Amino acid sequence: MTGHSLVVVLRAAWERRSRQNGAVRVLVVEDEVALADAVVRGLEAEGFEATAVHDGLEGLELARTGGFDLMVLDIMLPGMNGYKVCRTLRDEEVWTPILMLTAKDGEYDEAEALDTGADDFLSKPFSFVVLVARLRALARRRSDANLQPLEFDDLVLEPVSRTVRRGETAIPLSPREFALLEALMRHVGEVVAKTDLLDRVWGEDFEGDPNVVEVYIGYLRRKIDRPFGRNDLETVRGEGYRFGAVSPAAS
Amino acid sequence: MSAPPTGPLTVPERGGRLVALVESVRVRLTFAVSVIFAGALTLASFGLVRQVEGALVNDVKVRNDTVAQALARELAAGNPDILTSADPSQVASGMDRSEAEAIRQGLNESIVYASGPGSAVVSPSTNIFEKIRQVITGEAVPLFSKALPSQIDDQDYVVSRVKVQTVQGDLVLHVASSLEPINRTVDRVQRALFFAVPALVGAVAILAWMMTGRALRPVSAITARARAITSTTLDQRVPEPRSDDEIGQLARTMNAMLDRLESASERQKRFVSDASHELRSPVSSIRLQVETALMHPEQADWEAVGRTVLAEDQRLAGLVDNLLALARIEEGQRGPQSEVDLDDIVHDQLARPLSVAIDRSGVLAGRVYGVRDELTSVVRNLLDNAERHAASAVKVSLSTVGPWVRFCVEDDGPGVEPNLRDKVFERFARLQEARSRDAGGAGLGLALTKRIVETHSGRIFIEDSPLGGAAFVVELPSAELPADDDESVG
Repeated sequence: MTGHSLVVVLRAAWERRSRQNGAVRVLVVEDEVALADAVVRGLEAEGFEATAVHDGLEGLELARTGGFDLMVLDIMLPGMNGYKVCRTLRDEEVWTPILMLTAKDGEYDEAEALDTGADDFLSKPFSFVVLVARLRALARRRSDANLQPLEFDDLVLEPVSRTVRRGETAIPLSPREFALLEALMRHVGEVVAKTDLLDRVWGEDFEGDPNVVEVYIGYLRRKIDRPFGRNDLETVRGEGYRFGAVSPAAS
Repeated sequence: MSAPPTGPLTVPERGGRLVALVESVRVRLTFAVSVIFAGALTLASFGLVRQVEGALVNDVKVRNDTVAQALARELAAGNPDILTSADPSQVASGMDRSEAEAIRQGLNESIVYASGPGSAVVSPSTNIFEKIRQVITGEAVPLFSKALPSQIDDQDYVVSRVKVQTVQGDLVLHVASSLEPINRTVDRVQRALFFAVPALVGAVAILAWMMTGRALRPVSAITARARAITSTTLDQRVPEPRSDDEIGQLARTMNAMLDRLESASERQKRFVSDASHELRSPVSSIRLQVETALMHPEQADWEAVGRTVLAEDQRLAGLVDNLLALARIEEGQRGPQSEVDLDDIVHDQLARPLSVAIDRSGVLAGRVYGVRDELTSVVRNLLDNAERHAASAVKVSLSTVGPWVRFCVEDDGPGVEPNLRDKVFERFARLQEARSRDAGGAGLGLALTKRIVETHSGRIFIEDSPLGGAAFVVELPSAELPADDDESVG
């Protein structure tokens, strides 16, 4: 008991120390030792600071210290499974971004992973390149994220629990729709250019058709505005999009 | 041949046969028909006997009443001679034909007598003492010179009585008919029924036994054949009776089922052999590469080995994914359906390392309703396929056109001959020349892709690409209504 706690305390101390040198700290919870080691070595080569544990309970205790910026969590784990670890952390209001590793074995699926409060998922076998890209995206999203709820009139966006509601009505949004609304709600009343939205929501390396922004604006309108008879999300011809230009009282 | 079972083994066997016999449809049906028929017939017989008896008794009673009333009327009219005459209808004053007939018959079969104080008046005896004695003792006076039986009671006789007033006092006229002829008739009917009912029941039982036997004979034949059909003799079929009844339908249905089983088993066998072949080749390629490199580690090009192993591993992973997805679809055990953004899947799939440059400028958006994992397989397989066959360029496009989401993957490879375009979507299709195994083979990917697209109510087809190779086009129903009022930023 004491030995175990000591390990935790020491690890936490080490984490606090490494916090200062700026690297993104990743906790890898994966029981397959060879895989975990490979991931840790790879992440370190990519400039992350990675720590691996092979047991769900141990992973939970380390994550609770808050000493990590990101967490890679396997589902099938000894001690406590990944879903439980994730749910427990979220229940305790630990909001470290979690990327879940799912296996397509039919028993679990990705929707379930997101339901337990994970921020992203990747199914095994995965490409290391993709893992790194996803972790970078998660780190970026969190580092500049203001965790305060965004509100406009009766529309509320919670960055922490990633939920949106209008009045009492919860509005389920896809991750992309959520990111788009978040980007717009951080600049209420301002015109945001299409290219800015593209960079922020789809990433700077986006190579698809830029008109995708319009399509997603359409999706969003159909979810947050039209069912409520609102018109908060406006197209400013030739410039971009504006959220909440009309004063709430006027609608 | 093994020895026949002996000793304790035969006992349950025989018990089982008995149970089987009792439980046989034929036995039960015959038994049920016989019991029901016997019950109904017995009830009907009892009813018939009672009806006959009642009708006969009633006839006699009516006749006796008629006789008694006619005689009494004559008597009251002061015509005592009627009681002594040989043919009373001749003497009678106001008697109609039916009454006369009833009297004539009644006097033949019935006994008429009088009792009471007034009976001396009608006594046929000429001896005055005899008359007095009859009046004093109250003895019944027989009329029409008939002898009185020793005892007349209501059990054995049907008796009609009429009271008549005479100057000497009241007298009662009795007309009694013995029940014996009626009982004899009833007895005869009963005896006849006693033999006829079991005979009829027996006949019905035999008929039922024969008919059910004939109707069920095909069932036994089907059972025997079905028992003989095993996984290795799936080419056999149960005999089909010519009739179009339930049993004929059963046999045809069973044969249709056997058809499906046989083709499923065929497919399964072919699938297992193809899949194992397909799995074995990357595994042996990995082993060979690593083994030869380890034999002379100092000479090995480790980077090349790594790249080959990685490529083979990707091939393996894709195959395992496809096999799993296919198994799940075949079992009807699919993941949950939801709104899926195909553009997200496409961008995800394009994020991994690729061997050719992929033009993705045509990737707009497309939201469909379906199973995310399966749709991911579609995108991955089409990209893999294009990557394998492209010379240097692949173009991916995605857009929503009206109610359809159109996803298209083009390459500048050799393309697919128009007459082979359907064949490409067969499992482990092996097209010669350009699209050969060397390039990875079509394997399962395209077959699975087609299957998934079809379960999502979409379609997949091949066109010629402006790039020079093949264009694989997938069209799926859009989950979004066509945009109507979303203006463009321009």
